[in-house]
Amino acid sequence: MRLHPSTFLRSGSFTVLVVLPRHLVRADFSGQPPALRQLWQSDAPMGESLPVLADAAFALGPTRKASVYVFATACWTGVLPLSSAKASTLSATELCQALGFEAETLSNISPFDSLLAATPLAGKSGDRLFWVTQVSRSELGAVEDTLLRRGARLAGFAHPGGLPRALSEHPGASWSRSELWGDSAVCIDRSDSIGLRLQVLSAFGGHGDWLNEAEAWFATQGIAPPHERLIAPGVPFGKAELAAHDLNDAKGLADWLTAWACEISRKTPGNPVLRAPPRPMSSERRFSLSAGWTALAVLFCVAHGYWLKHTETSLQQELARVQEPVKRLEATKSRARASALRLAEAREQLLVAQQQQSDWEHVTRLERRRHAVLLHALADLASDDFVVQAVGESAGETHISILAMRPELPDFTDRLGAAMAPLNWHVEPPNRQALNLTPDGGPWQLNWTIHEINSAR
Amino acid sequence: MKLTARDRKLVIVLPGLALVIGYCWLFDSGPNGRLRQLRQQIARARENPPPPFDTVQYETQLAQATRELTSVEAEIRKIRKALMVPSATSSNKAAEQVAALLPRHHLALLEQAGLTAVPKEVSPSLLRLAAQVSATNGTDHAAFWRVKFAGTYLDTVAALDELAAADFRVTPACLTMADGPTQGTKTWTLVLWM
Repeated sequence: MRLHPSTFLRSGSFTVLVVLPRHLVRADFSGQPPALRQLWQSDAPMGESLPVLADAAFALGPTRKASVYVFATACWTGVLPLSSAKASTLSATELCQALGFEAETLSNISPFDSLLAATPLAGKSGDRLFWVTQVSRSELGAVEDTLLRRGARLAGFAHPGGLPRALSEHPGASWSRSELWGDSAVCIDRSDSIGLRLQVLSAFGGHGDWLNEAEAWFATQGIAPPHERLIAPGVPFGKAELAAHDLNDAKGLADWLTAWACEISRKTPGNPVLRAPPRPMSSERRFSLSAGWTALAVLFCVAHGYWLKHTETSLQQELARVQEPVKRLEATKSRARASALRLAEAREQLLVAQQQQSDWEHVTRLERRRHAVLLHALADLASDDFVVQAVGESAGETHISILAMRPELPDFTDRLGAAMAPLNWHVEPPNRQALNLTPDGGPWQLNWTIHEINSAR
Repeated sequence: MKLTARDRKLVIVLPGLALVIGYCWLFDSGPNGRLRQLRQQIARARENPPPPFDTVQYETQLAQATRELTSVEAEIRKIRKALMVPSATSSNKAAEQVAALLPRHHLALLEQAGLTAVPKEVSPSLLRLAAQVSATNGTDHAAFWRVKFAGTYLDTVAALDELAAADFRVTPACLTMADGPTQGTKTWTLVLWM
């Protein structure tokens, strides 16, 4: 979207410069509707070009970075007819080009080196009239450069004549006015039924001639008096009583400027206003813009990268949160399985421990009684036929050595075995050895071995 | 080559545009892929939540197993404590009690000494027990004592009867009998596990 200068003007402050051959005016406006803040005026230096005069007018006040409207009689303005049939087929650009060719003979400005603005006027059927303002492209560019050097921006360029507003109170909505701008005069009329009509008069004779021509034009158009009369600042006028609006008067000038400020603040002003064509960008500006775009791109990439990282972290946290019940279930399953395994192992260990305890109690119970039982049994078996020589133990076996008169001791082994059997000990048959001290070979050495029933021999 | 106004405008935004495209090409695809994958994983996880019953069931199983494990381990500790090798203090006390027991049965104590190794004469059952207890308690050997005394056969039998009924931990492991120093007496060597 392209921002129209009038939009800027409506919302901000701006400056109006009036550049006349003999007079310069600068007026600063602000607010909405525009209010005149300060006004400066002075005589114009003689023989200077438009850019110099514009610079001098701007320099009347302090430097201000604002939009500037320049009203100068240095541009050409006039009314040009164009057939309705032709005008209706042309686009706005083509219409300006066509009017440029039409204006060339009057303005002596080449249409190829000029800027032109046109506003349609009310006209006869078959023809359409256009209020045209034209200025040399180079001259406008110079004015723009001058203002740029001052930090200001050219918002529009127009002829000061033809303010399309009434300056006095009128009983109805219709009004008319004639204006004198040195070597040209402007007659303007507005009525509700017809609209805006305008004529620019030039090359009239002496003082007062313009007034006659204006009255003649009003009469031709059927416009009845009274007509407002406006005299430009710095323009001598003999019959001062005829000028209702003398811009040589400070108040009159302020009112006129305020009316113009209000008009150009409108979205579509009622007069042709020239806009400076967009200038090609300078290399520095292009570089700055490019660097700015690149910086923005870097910023975007960095921000996007951070956003991606933040989003990834958030999603990871969300995933962890969502998966937490599953992980908890898996962990619980795993721990339950591990506990079941440990419990099974512990139960086996308990079983082994219980067996050990049972074995311990059983073995110690038997072992504590074994030797007492053995000695009791030997005492019970005692007779005059033998004598217990020794009791000994080796390699887990108990050995009993007896010296007997006979080689056999009836029931000895069985009874000793019966005594030891409850203790899980077994008595082996004795080894006999004749000592051959008597004719029958006696006495006899009898050796018993007793061992545990389950022990491997 | 002549650049048009439009081309010049394009040239202005071209570096930034190239940067963004390069960034998207090089650095954006990886994270975006990961984000897509994460979103899919989240969607899958939300579609398949674990059944609440399973969680409760497994937690109950775990609690029950833990309780049982604690109980079983306590029982094991209790048994192992009961099977522990007698400490040096209790072993010495038992030795004192044995030394006091013998005179009550008119037996003359000749010698009493602790053994540094399990005697080979010990019965296989006791050997096995001693080995088990040593393994359970992590000790090298059980506490064996050799007691040598002299006395009559019947007094020795009476002493052995009292040892069998003793309320302290003592187990006769080996017994040897040989002729005694006087008529009617014998010299006895008793190996005790205590």
